[in-house]
Amino acid sequence: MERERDVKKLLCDMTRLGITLMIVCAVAATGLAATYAVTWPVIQEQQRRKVLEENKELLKLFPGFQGDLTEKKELLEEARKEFGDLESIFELMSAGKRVGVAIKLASRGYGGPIKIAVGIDTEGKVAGVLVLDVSGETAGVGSKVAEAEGAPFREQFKGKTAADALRVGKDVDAISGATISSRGVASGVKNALVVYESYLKGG
Amino acid sequence: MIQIWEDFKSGLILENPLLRLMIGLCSALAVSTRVENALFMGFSVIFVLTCSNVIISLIRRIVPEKARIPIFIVVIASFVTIVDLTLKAYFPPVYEQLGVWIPLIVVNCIILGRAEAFASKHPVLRSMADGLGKGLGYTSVLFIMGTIRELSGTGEIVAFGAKLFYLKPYFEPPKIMVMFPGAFFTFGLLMGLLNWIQRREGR
Repeated sequence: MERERDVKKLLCDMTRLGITLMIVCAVAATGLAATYAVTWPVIQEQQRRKVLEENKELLKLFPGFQGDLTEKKELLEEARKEFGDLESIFELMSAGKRVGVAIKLASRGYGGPIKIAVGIDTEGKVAGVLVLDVSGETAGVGSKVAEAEGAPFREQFKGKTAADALRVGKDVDAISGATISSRGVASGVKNALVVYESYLKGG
Repeated sequence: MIQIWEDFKSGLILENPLLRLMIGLCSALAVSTRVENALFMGFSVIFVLTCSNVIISLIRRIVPEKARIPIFIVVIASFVTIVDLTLKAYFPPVYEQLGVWIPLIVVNCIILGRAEAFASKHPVLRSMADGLGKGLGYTSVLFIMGTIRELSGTGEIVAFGAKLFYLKPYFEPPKIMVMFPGAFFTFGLLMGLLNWIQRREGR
């Protein structure tokens, strides 16, 4: 008899515990949902602005571009398995439509990696090439690929597609004295085009 | 009324959570590198501590003894998440600096400690006063530590985008002050100072 009462009491206690905990959690969840609803759009906007601010230089690839940069993180993971030198992939969106993509990657230079960013338009053509980091190259020689003097060199890539071979000396002219650095940039552009062709095309 | 004032006042010096009760130290030592961080962390703790004290005091009669800890944690975690989301949305630079220490307020012993030792046993107004007092005590110590460490460790105080002090021309700031050992030096000295003052008053 007594045992039965104990069990009953225990059950009653447990139910009370469960119900109280449930009510507290439900109220807390409601409060959190409300906060989330208010802050989420603001947080999104902040992050969008941050990405735009941190990658301002990429906008130079598409002159006159007005819109958003979105990072394609999953695609990057996927493409990295094949191209380990990839750094980031961005999609440039304007009014809900893709205007182009920007691919940041490293490629082998004369004294270290050369970091470049390649803009590719919706037709798969190079829209522009930026050389971001040439700290490993010889100053005044290899470093020219990033400087004003190298502008004609970088211009050559415009309009090229993944079908072009981009061999230095045949399809593209190297900067005199900086063949290896030029080759580094050219192979980087080529890699970016291949990444575009196999992962980003049409999407 | 006097009782409420006493509850509030005790948190400032006599029962200061950092210098007297010696709880919640890890976050205090970590974020007191800059005045701005110290203030934001302090306000976050005041908010969470006061709100959770009030709620816990309100529900103290319906909370079953056995389930009190999970219920307290749910309440505390909800307020911390509210602070977390709000800072992330409206003060992203500060949020980046404070980083993981904001979510970690959940496990800050000051808050669970006050819930368990005070709010679950006292009426609402007294619990609120206790939360405000202890929070303010925490914040003022954090503010003093932040001022000392930022000024001596970087030679200047920059808060809210304005440069308030600039002593760089007069001495070479020892960087150790903004690193962990500096936190211990400052904290130890403050504790010593408080002990010295109290001993002198007692005599």
